[in-house]
Amino acid sequence: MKSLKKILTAVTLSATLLAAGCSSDSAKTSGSSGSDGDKKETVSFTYWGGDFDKKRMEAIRTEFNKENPDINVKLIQIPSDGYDQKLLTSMAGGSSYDVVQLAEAFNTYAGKGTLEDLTPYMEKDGVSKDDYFSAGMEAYTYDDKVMAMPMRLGAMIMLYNKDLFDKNGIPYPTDQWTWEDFHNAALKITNKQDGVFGVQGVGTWWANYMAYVESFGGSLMTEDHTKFNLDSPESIKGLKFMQDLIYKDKVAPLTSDIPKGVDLWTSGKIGMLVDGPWHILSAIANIKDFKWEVAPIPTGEKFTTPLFSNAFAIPKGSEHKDAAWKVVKFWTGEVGQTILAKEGGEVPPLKSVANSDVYLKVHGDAVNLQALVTSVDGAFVPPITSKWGEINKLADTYLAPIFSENADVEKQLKDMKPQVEKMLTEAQQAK
Amino acid sequence: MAKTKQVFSSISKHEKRNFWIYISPWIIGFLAFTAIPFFSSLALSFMQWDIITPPKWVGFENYKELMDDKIYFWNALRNTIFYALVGVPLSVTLGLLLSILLSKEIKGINVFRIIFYLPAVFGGVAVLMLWSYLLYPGTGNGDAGLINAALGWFGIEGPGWSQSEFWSKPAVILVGLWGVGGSMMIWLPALAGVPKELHEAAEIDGASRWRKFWSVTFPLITPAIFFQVTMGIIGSFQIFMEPKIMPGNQKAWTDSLMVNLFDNAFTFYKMGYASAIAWVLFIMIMVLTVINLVVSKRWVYYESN
Repeated sequence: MKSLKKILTAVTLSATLLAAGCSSDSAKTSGSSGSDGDKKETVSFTYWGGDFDKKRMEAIRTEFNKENPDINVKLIQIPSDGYDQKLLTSMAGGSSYDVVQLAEAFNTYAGKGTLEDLTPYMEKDGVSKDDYFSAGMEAYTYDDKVMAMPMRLGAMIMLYNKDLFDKNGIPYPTDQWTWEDFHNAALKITNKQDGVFGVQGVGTWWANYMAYVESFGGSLMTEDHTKFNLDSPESIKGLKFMQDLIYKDKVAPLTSDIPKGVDLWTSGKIGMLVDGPWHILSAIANIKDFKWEVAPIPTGEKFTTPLFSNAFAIPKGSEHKDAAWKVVKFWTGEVGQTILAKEGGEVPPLKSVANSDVYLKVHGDAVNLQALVTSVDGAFVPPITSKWGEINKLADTYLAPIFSENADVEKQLKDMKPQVEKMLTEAQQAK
Repeated sequence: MAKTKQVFSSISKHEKRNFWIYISPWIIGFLAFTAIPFFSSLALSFMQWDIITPPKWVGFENYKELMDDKIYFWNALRNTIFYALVGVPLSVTLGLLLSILLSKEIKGINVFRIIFYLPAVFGGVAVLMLWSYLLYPGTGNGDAGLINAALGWFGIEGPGWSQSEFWSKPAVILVGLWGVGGSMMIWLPALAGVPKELHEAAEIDGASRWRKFWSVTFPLITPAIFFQVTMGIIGSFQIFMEPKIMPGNQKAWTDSLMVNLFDNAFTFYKMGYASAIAWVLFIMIMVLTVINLVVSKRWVYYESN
């Protein structure tokens, strides 16, 4: 009798689980059919992130509803981790969202022809490309068609510890700083005894090494994305500069010099941090013991720095494209961008908003956000192809020995070249 | 008579239906999560599929690419074989030694058994994260990982663990060995199954402890050893969490076949290629298990023969 009861419980449980598993899908489709009585069109809209992002998205929606009472925006929050997998499987499963947030995966989607061309919509509504930062627009243009509208921009920047500059009598970095100034400052700041390093931010992450390489006039691949270019003399100069910071001058820590779970920068042990703009808000919240400021990264052959961005696109499978466009236009337009600007973190892609005091003065005089705007203005779009993931893994495999074992730069690049070129050929064929 | 037959058949019909109802959770689960994926992956291994566009038949292309992939596939295979060759003998020997100690009938032995079994209960990512802190190399001036710091008290300079090419693989194995107490579930009953009178007889004949182990205990627990070795080999070929959560400073040092498979499937969306890796892995494990079974006839002793 007892075992029968057990079995029955098991059957009921598994049936419930199955039903629960299916229902999440059906809820989604019924949500977008929408027209039951109230005549509202529902636009499903996916984005990634946490509470911070949720607050922003809901704030913009509130404004949107005031102007568009006939459109119901259903916001679907997906955790950043696994966002791409979730989006891909749901699109492959045939259930399309109406607006999706994209970043590095953009080229994959655009290349497969799964995104709606937004150019006609822009022309119809008089939305001009020129009102946006050019790198932001370029990142989401595929075959001369704008296939997504940028929402948030950022760039590699330099944060510096003012106290360490003062202590060593070094003038603060300016927009005109060169890598030579950077190098000299790093030498002065480094103090082995106190565990203080001049620089942090030398590594195999694409934005890390590209920041130096591009600034020295090199690049990972040629502009048409067909040939490997990291073995050009300019690129090699950049990589060797990085390697020397670690091994010759010993002004940048090895990975093993960084204690696990300790942030050298926030504990005041780093003079200059070359990293992403997310450090600004984190520094405002966490750094109390020393004064710090933001500057663009130094200039080499030219001033440039890697761009970070994300954007909103309309999948071809959407059944509410006109409403979806209204949503995209509003979020990336002045009202949406102003809400973003007031956070004082990432740069609004709309130039007029980014250059207004709403954004630049949001932290008062505490943070020089102009440095971030200048960086975004001069930024380059990372050379993302449909093989981006594989190429990054190759870079990690072949560049890591340079920065962690003092391996010979030319030799690593010689081994890396055929592997990357194979990927580039495959990416071309996939087009 | 005819009536009883009818009743009987109607009961059996009723029971038949019940049988299918009761077994359906398992059947549905088996079909949905084992059988269908199993055969789909075989088909996919001959295709190119990026999830968005429809799969394309490519024949043996994926397998050919696999054989040519010196930097990831062959490297991962070498690492995986290292985990099996070094990890399996270590975990079987240590598990047996530990279980022999824990099989002694002394006061409070259950407390020790619980302590050594606990790691098998706490598993997963959280524990591996803790281990990566414990095994952190550090520079020695106060920021070393706990293990190297402890070694430092005895004047031993700890190795670089994940930061060193030589030590990153042993670190992965070491973390696995932490849970070796879990195998006592197999060892303790096997050891308890060795008849006392055989030991007594050997003692009367003047056998040493060592001799008693090799000539009495060992032959009688060979089935358990065989089981542990087989499961150990299968497990170490499928090793994933340890190298994924606490990789070496250069991932190539620690990547296993499963990590390689995961990257291809869920980072690069090469489902066909990843399926081909899965099938190569499956065939390798299959062959090793068959070899194991054949060889076992020479050294595994079953009381029934």
